Amino acid sequence: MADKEKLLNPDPGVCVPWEVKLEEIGEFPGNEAIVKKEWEKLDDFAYNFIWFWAQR
Amino acid sequence: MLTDALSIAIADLEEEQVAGMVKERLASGVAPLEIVNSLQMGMAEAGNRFETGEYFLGELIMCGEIMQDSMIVLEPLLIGSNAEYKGNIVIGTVKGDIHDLGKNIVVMLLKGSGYNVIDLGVDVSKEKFIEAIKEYNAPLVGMSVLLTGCQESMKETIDAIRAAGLDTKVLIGGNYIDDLVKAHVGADYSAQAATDGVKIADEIFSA
Amino acid sequence: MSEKQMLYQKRLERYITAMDCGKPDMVPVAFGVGEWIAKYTGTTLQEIYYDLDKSNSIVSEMLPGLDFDIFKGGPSLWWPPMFDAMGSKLYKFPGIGVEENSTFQFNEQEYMKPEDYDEFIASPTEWLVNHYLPNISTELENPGSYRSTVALIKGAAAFAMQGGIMAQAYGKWTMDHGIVGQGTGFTKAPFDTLGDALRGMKGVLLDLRRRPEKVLAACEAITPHNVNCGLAGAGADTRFPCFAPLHRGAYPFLNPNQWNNFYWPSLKATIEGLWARGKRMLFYAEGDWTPYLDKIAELPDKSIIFQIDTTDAKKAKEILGGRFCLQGGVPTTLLTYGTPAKIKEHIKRTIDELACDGGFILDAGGVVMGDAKQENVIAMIEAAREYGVY
Repeated sequence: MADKEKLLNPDPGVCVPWEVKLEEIGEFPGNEAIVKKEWEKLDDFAYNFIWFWAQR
Repeated sequence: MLTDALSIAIADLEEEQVAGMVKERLASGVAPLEIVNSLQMGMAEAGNRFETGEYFLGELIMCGEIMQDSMIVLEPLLIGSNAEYKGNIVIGTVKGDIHDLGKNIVVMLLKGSGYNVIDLGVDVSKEKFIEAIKEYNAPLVGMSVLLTGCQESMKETIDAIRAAGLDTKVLIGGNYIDDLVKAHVGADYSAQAATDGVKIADEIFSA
Repeated sequence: MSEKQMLYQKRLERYITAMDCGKPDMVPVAFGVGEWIAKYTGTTLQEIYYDLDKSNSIVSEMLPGLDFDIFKGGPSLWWPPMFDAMGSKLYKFPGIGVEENSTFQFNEQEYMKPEDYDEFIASPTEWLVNHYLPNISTELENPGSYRSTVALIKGAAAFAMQGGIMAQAYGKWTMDHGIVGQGTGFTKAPFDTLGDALRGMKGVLLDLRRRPEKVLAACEAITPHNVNCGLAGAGADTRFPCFAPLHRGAYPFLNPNQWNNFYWPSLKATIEGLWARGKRMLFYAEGDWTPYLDKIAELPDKSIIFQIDTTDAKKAKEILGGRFCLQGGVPTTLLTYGTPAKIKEHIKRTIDELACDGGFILDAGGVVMGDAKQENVIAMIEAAREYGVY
């Protein structure tokens, strides 16, 4: 269950914002943009899956 | 014009007032049946308001909810009292369809107008319809269908009723019901608006 | 350019011209394969729903003989295996829950409770994951359990698989038959999102009286998400509209005050949000919307295609015509109970009345279900070509 103190309230098209993930990763030796792009693609897929059920 | 405060309260959809008054009246010894009558008069008024365009389906559903909440309290107390009905009407959503919103509104309005409504629920087989019509000797049967794909099942039910030799009048209703559908399935009446059911029943039972 | 590619271009142009309220070379015709196909192909509805390859190959076999412009899709709206994987309570599908030749049915319940409003409004997507999905899916009853995790993996995989299979099928239909798809993206009126799946119709109607401020706040919270759903991802194809089946806004569900204050503002905001990104909505107005035509006319020009179901078609033409493309004109019941001759006659009249100055797409009014007759559906397409040349 979600901790009410730490709601992400993600924007449309987002489940876990990249900024949140980036902060957790901390040090970033490679090219962030490459990772971010693919992260966001899958995040968008998950978002569509979740909202699919609400838009039945 | 309504004069009974309880009738006025339910017609105005004042749910808290209605709940309070039902409790008070029971406590002061008013017969449960009398309370039901007051509620029904108010519901009939809500039906009239729908008719004149003052109320919409949302209000009718709300009114039905308030009635239902009251009946939870009143129904167990009604056993043994002799209610007088204008007549018996069998009603149900036909086989294959589980939508009951339209049907429930019509049931509520018919009950409110003093009919004994035998509500068979949803996804009702033709056998069940026939059995109930016979058991209650009902001069009118109402069939509801939302899905156009289930209109065929309505026709089959009506055919079966006729084949069983019953001359019960058949009223059909639903969002996609029109004269084309009525002619095709062989019904006697079709209802477009929620309050048409009461008008048609009054016509049949006053004849 | 191949013959089929040229055909595709011609049809696409016809469609786009009509959407922009112009007059193409002929009235574009929209067509969908409905559940009625089952009885002509010797398959059960269950097979058509469950076996996507089968249902797509049925469509592939039908297409060569039919000359229409806009394809509205195949016979099944949903792929039940995905729902089975999740243990979804939302629907009963043919062969599971209802008989193998019965259509699907929605199982409406209050999946969201009145006390859930605040948490939902605070973070809609998180609430859906934490509470709604477990409420609607028996397999997710114990989040984090073995069954629940497996179900989510399967559900998401099914979602991706279905998307891939359908994209491939559309690609093939475009290549082989010059077919133009009607739209991309799926959305709703925020009030319908709340009222259909979350609170249920009865729930939301009661909320309008008991907690109207929550209903408003929820619709507001849903709006940006519904804009996003309509766009269908970042790389949205804005040539085509998103599909939006509209329910509780039909007359006479809500009273004018409720319609004006609760239904319309968030739907309007959704449409304006989409239009700001160049995306149109197929405003699929199921039922009768005649009393609201003046309000709908307040939308930005061309931002919707207005679907005429049981709305007064002449009034729609009078009030919306010229500024919005209209789609429809063939009553759904006529396809079931009419005859090819009656349909031809009706279409001739419809085209005279509604299509005259362009901005019109001929289509069945509502969702064509299992009871339609194939000969009537085909007569509709043929008559459209016969009378539809400008």
